[in-house]
Amino acid sequence: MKGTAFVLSLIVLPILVALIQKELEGWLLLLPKKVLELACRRVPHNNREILRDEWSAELHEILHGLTERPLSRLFLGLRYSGSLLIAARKVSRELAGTRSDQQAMADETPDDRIAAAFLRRTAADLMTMQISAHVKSSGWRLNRRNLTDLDKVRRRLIRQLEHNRDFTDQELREIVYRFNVFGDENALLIMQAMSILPPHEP
Amino acid sequence: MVQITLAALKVLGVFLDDPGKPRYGLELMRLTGMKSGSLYPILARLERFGWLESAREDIDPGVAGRPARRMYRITDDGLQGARIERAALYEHLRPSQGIIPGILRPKEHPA
Repeated sequence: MKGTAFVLSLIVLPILVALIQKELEGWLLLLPKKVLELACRRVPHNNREILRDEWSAELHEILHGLTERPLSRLFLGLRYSGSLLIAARKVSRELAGTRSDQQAMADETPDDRIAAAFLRRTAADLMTMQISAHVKSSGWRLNRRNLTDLDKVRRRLIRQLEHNRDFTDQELREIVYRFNVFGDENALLIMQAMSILPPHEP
Repeated sequence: MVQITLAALKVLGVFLDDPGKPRYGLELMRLTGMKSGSLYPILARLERFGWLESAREDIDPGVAGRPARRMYRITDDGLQGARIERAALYEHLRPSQGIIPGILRPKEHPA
């Protein structure tokens, strides 16, 4: 009995401790990512994906490239994401259009605005537009469950396209052709509903 | 009109050291000693006014083993503007001829 306890304490216990350490390290390193996600939610929707891409890539370097020590990584990661959480509104203000930008936007035709908005879109937005168009055209009733399903599909598509968010002109043309976004009479309404464009007054 | 603060000039200074070299946020944080919360509003402002332009790094994340970064590059307008602003700052900080005339030496007291 004593022998078994000795073997347990000599072999099993260190392995168990190492596993728990790894587990805790994994959980702790999730913290900076969660804080970064909160920061991303504080910036406007139209810039969110771009900033999330940028900030996540840099947090990845902090958490995996700068130092081997887990507590230092946690500290540096939290300092990076925490500082962004505090400054997120300031970044939003800087990214928001100036008065002259808004005036220039008001002077554009709806087609110009659709084209410009479309070119600024990330894959995530394009996918959401496409799914929204599909939902509208198929006559689905939008309820809480549908929205959850929609969000799941959207997340899956975003994951698939995670490393391909900036499209080339050729890819954009292909997306327009395949998804027929411009041909959809609801495209403008969808974009307005999703705050991609402000409401247009004819 | 771009509002250039000392902090913004510090960021622009990094680009002026090697205008052709693209930089990314974490690198700029290291080179300027700024926190992320101070740096990104400045980058956003400079980009909004066309002094900087940014693009996603053209790498295959699978091969590189990391996500693609957003790289910032100074534009021609930014280069010109930053040089003017830096010269203006140096001019502002230069000791005025009226305040320190000639060579400093101890005041002579009558015997």
